[in-house]
Amino acid sequence: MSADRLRGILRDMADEAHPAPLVAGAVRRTRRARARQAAVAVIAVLGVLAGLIAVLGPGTDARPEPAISPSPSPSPSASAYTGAFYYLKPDGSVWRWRVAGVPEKILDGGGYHRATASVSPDGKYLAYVDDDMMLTVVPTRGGTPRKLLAYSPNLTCVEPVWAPDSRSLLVSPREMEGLWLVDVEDPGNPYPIGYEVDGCHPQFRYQSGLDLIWVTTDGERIRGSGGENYTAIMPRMRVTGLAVLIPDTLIQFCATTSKDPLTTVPPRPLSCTVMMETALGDQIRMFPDPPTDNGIMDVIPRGPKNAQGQTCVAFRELTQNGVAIMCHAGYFGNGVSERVNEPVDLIEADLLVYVP
Amino acid sequence: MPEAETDFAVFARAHTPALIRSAYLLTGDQHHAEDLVQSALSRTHRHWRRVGDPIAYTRKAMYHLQVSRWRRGRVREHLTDVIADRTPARVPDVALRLTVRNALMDLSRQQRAVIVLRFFEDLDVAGTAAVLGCSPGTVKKYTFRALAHLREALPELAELMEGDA
Repeated sequence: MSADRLRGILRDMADEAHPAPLVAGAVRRTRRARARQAAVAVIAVLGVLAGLIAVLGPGTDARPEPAISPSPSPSPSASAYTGAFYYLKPDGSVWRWRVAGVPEKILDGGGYHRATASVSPDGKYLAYVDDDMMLTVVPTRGGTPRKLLAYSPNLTCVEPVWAPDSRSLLVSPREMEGLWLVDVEDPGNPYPIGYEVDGCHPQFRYQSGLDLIWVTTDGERIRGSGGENYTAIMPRMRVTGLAVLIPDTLIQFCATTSKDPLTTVPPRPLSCTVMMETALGDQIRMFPDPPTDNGIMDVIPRGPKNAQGQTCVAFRELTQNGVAIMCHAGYFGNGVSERVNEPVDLIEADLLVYVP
Repeated sequence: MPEAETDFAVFARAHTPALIRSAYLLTGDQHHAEDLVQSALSRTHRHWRRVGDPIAYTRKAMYHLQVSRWRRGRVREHLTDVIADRTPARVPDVALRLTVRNALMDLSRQQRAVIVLRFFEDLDVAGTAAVLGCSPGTVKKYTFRALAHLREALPELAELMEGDA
């Protein structure tokens, strides 16, 4: 009876949806994607031809090169994005791209488990669950993969989360109840965090009691509004130090519901001042506020800067000319200050992380 | 128009309304639902000649896109207390509808997908697992947790257990 009631409720809610003519739009999307693929192919062919010409050298009728100084090449430093973007393609392969370069594959695609790939904040390591259901770490520059522990992911989005020091991984495998920290150098002794997590483990539940203050860019906290840092105060909550900044600026965190259970929370093996880094390298810091004993969470922008010196918050946007990575100033800024066009063959890929 | 294009257009027009209904439950928003369905249809269109069962392929693509979109950050979800102007007149209870919407949107995307597949699409555990590409045990786990949350929000569903689907 209750199941029928739920079905009825869902049907009623679905009735709010209205049919829309989507066929033409879907076909246009396909044509755009195919046009981009064709453009890539043409550019690749031209590149190969140019390379061949360069290798074979000028013909006999070629005139000598004029004695001029080489003109400066387009400078990658013109972009705020001087680091590397890491992408996950639908086939499970992981790619690295720098604004001035071409994408390079750093991990072959495999079973869907490789969709668990996650790049460490320092960009040196790639963690993923391999086809043997083992949490594995491999250097992004190449090397021998190291299997850390058995890991049965629940869904493709359950990737491990790196600690900001790139030395530990936050995991929630089915073999182990709740959240655990795994030291990459000592995977045999995972540390229990003690929280049960619904779904993807970066999606920690936001608890009630949120208040917002702004802080200065150097990380020193001040009360009031203004500035570009983001700080959340959680009255009557004890922060346990787990946080993730989701790219759409939704910040969720894990905290106890009151101060009372504090004595039951074991000390953590990591520093409680820097708990996580965002996709752009921003630090999320968590620590107690002694006067009030409330939990404090700060986000300290460390990502690329725009021309005005403001920290960029990047996200991807589908435009008429393809996918662009936008650089917005501030977490709630509106103005677009920089745009870099991604290679077209990364359009279907997920942007995993930007490593400055 | 080539025959394949015509076939795709006929297929898409026939199934778009049903897909949008499911997508609406997944996203809670008409525009996001349309974007989700259009993305899924585009994928089907791209592989039209190789797709054996277009509706199954499109549906699977739609659920996968929705579950994985949180990583892309392209789509922002906004919960609203305002009922859309296009709400049909047969709404029986606005308060209940708001409660249901909020409870559903409060679920994780995986839990929401499982609830829609099992209680709206009427798929069993195995069918749901096949669409989402996960194990039946995972489906049961998500169903159990999602129903626990819904029961909390909707006392009239108190008797609803995981095995009722």
